[in-house]
Amino acid sequence: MEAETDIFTLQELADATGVEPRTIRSYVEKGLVPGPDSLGRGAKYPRESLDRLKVLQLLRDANRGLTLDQIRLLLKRLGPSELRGLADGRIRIAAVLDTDALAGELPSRSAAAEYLRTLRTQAPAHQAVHMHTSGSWEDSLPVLEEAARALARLAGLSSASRGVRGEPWYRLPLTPDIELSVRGNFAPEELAQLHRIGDALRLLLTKGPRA
Amino acid sequence: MIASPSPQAASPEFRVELDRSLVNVEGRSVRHLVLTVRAPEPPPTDRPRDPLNLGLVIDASGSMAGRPLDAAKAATLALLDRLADDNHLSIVSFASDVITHAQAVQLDAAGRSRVAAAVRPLVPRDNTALFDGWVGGCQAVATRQAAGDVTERNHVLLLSDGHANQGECRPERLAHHAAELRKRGVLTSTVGIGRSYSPIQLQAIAEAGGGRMHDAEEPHEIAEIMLAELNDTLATTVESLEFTLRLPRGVEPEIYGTTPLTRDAEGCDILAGSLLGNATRRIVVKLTFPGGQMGETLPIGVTARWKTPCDGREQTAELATVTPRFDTAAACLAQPRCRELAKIVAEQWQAHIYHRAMQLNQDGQREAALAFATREGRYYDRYCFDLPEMQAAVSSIHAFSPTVIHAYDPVTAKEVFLRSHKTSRGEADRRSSKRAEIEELIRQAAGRYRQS
Repeated sequence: MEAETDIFTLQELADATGVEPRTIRSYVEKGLVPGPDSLGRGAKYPRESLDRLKVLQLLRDANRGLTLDQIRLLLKRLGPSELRGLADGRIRIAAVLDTDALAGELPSRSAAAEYLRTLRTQAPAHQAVHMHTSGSWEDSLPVLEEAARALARLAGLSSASRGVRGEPWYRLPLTPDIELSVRGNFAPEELAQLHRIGDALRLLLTKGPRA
Repeated sequence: MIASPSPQAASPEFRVELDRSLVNVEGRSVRHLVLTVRAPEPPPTDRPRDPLNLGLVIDASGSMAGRPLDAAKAATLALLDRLADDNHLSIVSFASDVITHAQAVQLDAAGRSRVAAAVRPLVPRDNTALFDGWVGGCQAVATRQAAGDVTERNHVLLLSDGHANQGECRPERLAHHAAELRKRGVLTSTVGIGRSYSPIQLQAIAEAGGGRMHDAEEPHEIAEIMLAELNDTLATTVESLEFTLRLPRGVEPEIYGTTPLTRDAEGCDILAGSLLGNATRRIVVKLTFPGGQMGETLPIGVTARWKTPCDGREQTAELATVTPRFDTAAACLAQPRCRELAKIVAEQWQAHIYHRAMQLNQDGQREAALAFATREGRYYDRYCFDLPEMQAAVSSIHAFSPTVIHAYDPVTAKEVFLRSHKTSRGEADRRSSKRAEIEELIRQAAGRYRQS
């Protein structure tokens, strides 16, 4: 079936690979698989999505303890012909995993160090915002709380800002580096709306604005 | 439903159960999904343990001056004797600055002397840059991880007696970074020292960081807790355990207890974290159902993912699908339920009420705490009507609810918070000194607030 076409629906991808639609969507969010070119139920995925999904499954089955971040790095290194060869079974997955040059790219053991390095580079800005002594912070709390209550009254809300601290965050990954975080309890239709917004943003971020 | 995902001996055992399987066609039915996991046996003690790459992060702020810091130093020296020669230890202290006293020192004879010499002169300084100190400890461990033995367990133990008041302080951001580091193989456990530390910040780090949160109220308990945590780290047989629930449209999940739950459009992910060998963990998810057609089923699929600490291998298992079915209100009321399962739900629910109400109370939202505890208490009462063994818990919640309108003193609040956290995670309290039962603490608080 898949050989006759180069575009697929989400369900066709799921049928061809045995990967659930929900998991495919999460792979798209994590940047492992290219997303669709359009929005909605009839959204079409390119051939590369199918090839990447197949190779991703092969990498997971290879049982090397690879994380998704490592798999993303490996997939990034593969050219279209190599990717197609692996997906078709013409190239053995072991050949990819055993390539010394590629093995050197695996970030497994240095991933935490790299993450912390990035964090360090961001540190001065946030420290400047949050550096304060215990006394000055506590002294300013009543003033801040009163200000929050006044803002809530102006906005016609029944409770002030501190009230939302107990509410859950809903996090929607857009790309591996960008996440949409929204606070609150959402009804199913609101969640669906949020996901539609997420899909549109993802499309904009990965494919650019439409002409 | 029991599932053992692979024939390997070192796989956990899972159980997925619903307390009742019929749901009301008219909607708003609440059912409880109980996920039970039993971790595999720890390796025999006579077999060589996996080497440890441990980072010890010590709060050296002004409030640690005197016995707490002396006890932390003594505990570190005691820990040196318990670690194996092939282990690596980093020591980092923080106040308003961060000092790395030892960077991944191998603990042969010379290494032990070096670490001991680095720890002894440690003196208190000023503020509590908890985030920067913790990051410093993670950095030391991660540097060793990048160059070291792949079989090593990379673990950070953070000791603090206060609220972070410098650098990143928001619990949700601390949890985010802890989770990112956990995904990259560096786990964090925390020890709260004394009576006034922030359990919310330390819990956020430990929970998302795949470790455990401990309390050492008295200085002499610091060494006990650190050694217990070391044993726990070595006895861990399941790491970063995460469940994914695939939920039909309109089914709303809510977790009982402190376990992090992340929702998405098709279900939710639940991070259970690490489990010691042979330990059993139970997670209760409250599910609120929409209305539907008579006889229609609502399949709920459950997947588990975890890591085996000895080789860092990720494993996945498709556990089971439970299928609640729509029926009339009368049929729902008449359906029997498993008493054993209902008792598990009631125990977790009780811990959830204490923990959540106390969190709101300490957050200054005392009216919200009162409303929450009163409402939940009413439902709890109804749920436990045929569970005589839970009637003491029902009475305790009734006594507790009206007290949360008062500002709890930090010591009682911390104790209630911590004990309910431990109950909800099925973890042992490692402190040797006996504490009053949680019900006794609540009785005392109720007495105080009646008089005031």
